[in-house]
Amino acid sequence: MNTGPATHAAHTPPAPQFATRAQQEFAGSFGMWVFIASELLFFGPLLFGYLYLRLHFPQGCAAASRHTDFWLGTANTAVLLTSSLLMALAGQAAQAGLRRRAAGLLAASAALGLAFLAIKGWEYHAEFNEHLFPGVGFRPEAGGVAQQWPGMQLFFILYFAMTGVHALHLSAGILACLWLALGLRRAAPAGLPDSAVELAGLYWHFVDLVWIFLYPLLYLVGRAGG
Amino acid sequence: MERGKRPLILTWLALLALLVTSAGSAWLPLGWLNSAISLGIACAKALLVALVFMRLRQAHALLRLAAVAGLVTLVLLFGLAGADYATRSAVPAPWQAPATVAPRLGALGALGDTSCRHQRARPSGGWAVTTPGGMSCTLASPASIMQSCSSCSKRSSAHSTPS
Amino acid sequence: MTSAQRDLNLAEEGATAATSYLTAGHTLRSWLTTRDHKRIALLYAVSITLFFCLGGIAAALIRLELATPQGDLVSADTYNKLFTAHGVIMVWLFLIPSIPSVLGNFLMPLMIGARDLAFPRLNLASWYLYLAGGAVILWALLAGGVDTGWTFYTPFSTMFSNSHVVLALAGVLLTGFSSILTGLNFIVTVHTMRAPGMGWFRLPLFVWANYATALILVLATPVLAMTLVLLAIERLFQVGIFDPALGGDPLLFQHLFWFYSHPAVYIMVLPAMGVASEIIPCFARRPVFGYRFMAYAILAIAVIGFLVWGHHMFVSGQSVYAGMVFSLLSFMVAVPSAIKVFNWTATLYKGRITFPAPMLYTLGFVGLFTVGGLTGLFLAALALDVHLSDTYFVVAHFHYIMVGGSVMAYLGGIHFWWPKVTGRMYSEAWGRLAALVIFAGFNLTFFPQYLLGYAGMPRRYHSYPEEFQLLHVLSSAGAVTLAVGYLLPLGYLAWSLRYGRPAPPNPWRATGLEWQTTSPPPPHNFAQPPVVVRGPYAYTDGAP
Repeated sequence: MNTGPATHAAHTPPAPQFATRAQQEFAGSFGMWVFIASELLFFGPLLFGYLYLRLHFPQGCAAASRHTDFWLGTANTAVLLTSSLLMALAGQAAQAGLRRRAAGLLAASAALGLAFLAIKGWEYHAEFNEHLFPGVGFRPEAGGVAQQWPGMQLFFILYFAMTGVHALHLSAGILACLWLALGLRRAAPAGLPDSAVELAGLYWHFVDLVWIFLYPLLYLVGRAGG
Repeated sequence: MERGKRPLILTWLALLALLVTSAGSAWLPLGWLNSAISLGIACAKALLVALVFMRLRQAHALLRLAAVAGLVTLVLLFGLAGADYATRSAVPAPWQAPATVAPRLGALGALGDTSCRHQRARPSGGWAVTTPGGMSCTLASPASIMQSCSSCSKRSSAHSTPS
Repeated sequence: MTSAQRDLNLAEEGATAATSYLTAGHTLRSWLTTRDHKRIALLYAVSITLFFCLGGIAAALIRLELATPQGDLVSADTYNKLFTAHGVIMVWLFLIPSIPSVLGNFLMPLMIGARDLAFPRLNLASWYLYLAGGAVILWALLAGGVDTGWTFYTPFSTMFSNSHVVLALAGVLLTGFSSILTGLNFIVTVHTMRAPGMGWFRLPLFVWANYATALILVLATPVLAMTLVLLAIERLFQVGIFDPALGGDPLLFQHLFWFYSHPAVYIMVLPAMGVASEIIPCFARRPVFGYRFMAYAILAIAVIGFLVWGHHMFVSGQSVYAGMVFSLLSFMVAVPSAIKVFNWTATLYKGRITFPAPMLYTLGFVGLFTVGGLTGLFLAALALDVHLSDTYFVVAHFHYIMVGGSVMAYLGGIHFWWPKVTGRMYSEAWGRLAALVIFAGFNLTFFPQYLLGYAGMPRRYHSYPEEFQLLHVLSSAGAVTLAVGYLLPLGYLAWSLRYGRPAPPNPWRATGLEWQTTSPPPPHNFAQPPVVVRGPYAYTDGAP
């Protein structure tokens, strides 16, 4: 626990298996961090597959990365970073007992998350149309020699897998934010506890962390023509 | 309230600045430095998010341990599996057909998939491609499989294979 | 209030059947929506027993086929489906959840003096995920089965197999998530919910063992999950990150798969070691020898266990240098296991040993685990592995550990804590008989397989040269004996539920907080959180 529990929380009794509210909240934070560690390992094979790919098909990777949309990817990164700020502010507001402000910030984060998904969906749409989706229909039209196609296709397998799994996680985060925003409208203990915002924040920041690494790996390879 | 918000806003601005830097530096022809810089900046951004937004800086040691444990395990995976790749050179060679018959097609279909099933090289060196409909054609190389199959007229969705 | 008075109060509080966790709610709904870790443990117990029977039927068919040299009972394809079903069911639907989700779920809160696990609803969710995974795997089997082996090696599983691979992968994925949630729950519980005075080095070794297992569950299982997702993507979209013809690498799959599946075997054996560390001190009436070393050895096994996965890939094309590194590390992982075996033996030395059924199972565990572990060293030696890889020697090795080790320890634990869980005593005569039948049947089944493997009998083959028949027939005869041995407890344990003698709170005079409450415990385990004033295994009636 970083600071003392908010005034609201001090009045709500802990769940029956816990002795004190503080113990419960610490267990919640610790549990979320353990979950985040497991999620890091969940993305691990994709990252290792990417490493294999970069080492074995450097030109294919570069050619494929040039087919991703640099501006949309960069914009999306900024969107997600901003949503993280809003989540951090929401956590701070909840800790101070300002449930209404926290709910508003959560809704705003969710909105930015939806914006991210919309931009991503637009990118996917464009990539489908350019025949960049791996499988029998794979056929990059501009750039990339035929020998590079195996590497390019492997890149796009990982691209769609990594961004797809990331988008799934983001969607879960958006739902959590919306549910929390609704749950905070009623005062504790009938509504959700303030500490839930911190937990949702941790998860959201993790999803942002994943994207922070996906961005250079997928969008910035070979931009200088190397 | 303002005092508490300030570190968060400053961190956010720093993150955006780092983003602009990595996005910009990607367009400079620096060879391997491009990757080094962009990954380095990603690590810096990650540290900022973890320490400030996720409050790891003030957190109980146990929470930091959980974060580190995940990272260490990932490093183990990369390290030891990477040791295999680093000490082994791949020598690509054309595939030899195993002495088995073609995979049975048109078996019970639960989730049908209608793409071609390519088979390994014939002794003559070509690639035998068998479609779900049982038709076959021979192609010269793996790369041309992707080109040819998508435009192949022999593909049929009449049969499906189980997934 | 003295501890004796407090114990008495606790006994009185839960003394009548009306207040035990078993009787707090009689409806099916109260069981299916329970948050009580003890009830969830029983839900798991019933489910895994059903799956054990299914996996056992597959094994019986395998051994029946192998009694004759010709492949005459089933076709080669069906045989492939049989051993795949046996492996998938036994590994993911039986062994991995067995001790942690049954005994661990029931005992962990009791042993640390807590009222429940940290996240009871997650616990129930984990059971439902397990059931969902089991249902999907069953669906895959009923729809025609999977023939890739439980290891799903590429490119066969992604490009050539005509069986229901993606369904099976989905089922395994669900059970994987179930086990991650269980692991998460255990880790948070042990760190944050120990009773006052219960420091780390006063914890029973069973708690240490399940804690280390939980670390592996949380860190290794997600890697499997993503690997299976990649497999499904390969198969559904016919793309090739694991397919050499399309630029991928089958060894990439094997690295990712075994990165989980080797630590998975420690998920299967560490809790068994925890059970042994509870039973041996109790029936030798001596504290465990070298408690701290036992705890450190558990952690060492978990950590080093993450570093040895390449020993499954010595002959699959991995580089020789990586092979040497993995071989060395595999020799190192045997050291903490050996320390544990020495310490169990030293615990027995000068003890006042008695041999009720749990002790018979546990002594069997120690001996058979030792044999299995030593043969693991054979396999860890690179040159020997070239000869032994993919033969029945490997099959015998892992069955000695998983069946001779884990299953025997699981049964020992079931018998040891049966009075606590059910409030009934089982029939000791039948218990001992079953333990001996299982021990004899096990050795008859699997020892000949060492000889078969060394002589060159390949694994996963349903027909073989005539000269191997005698050993195969012995093995199949052993399998029949083993089956009888496993059916016996189903019978007498079920009988005891109705007709067994009611159990006192502490029939074995064991130490440990779980024995300080009634048999069966009240719904919230303890009326007040117990305060711990001494270390574990305070047995004084053996030699000091």
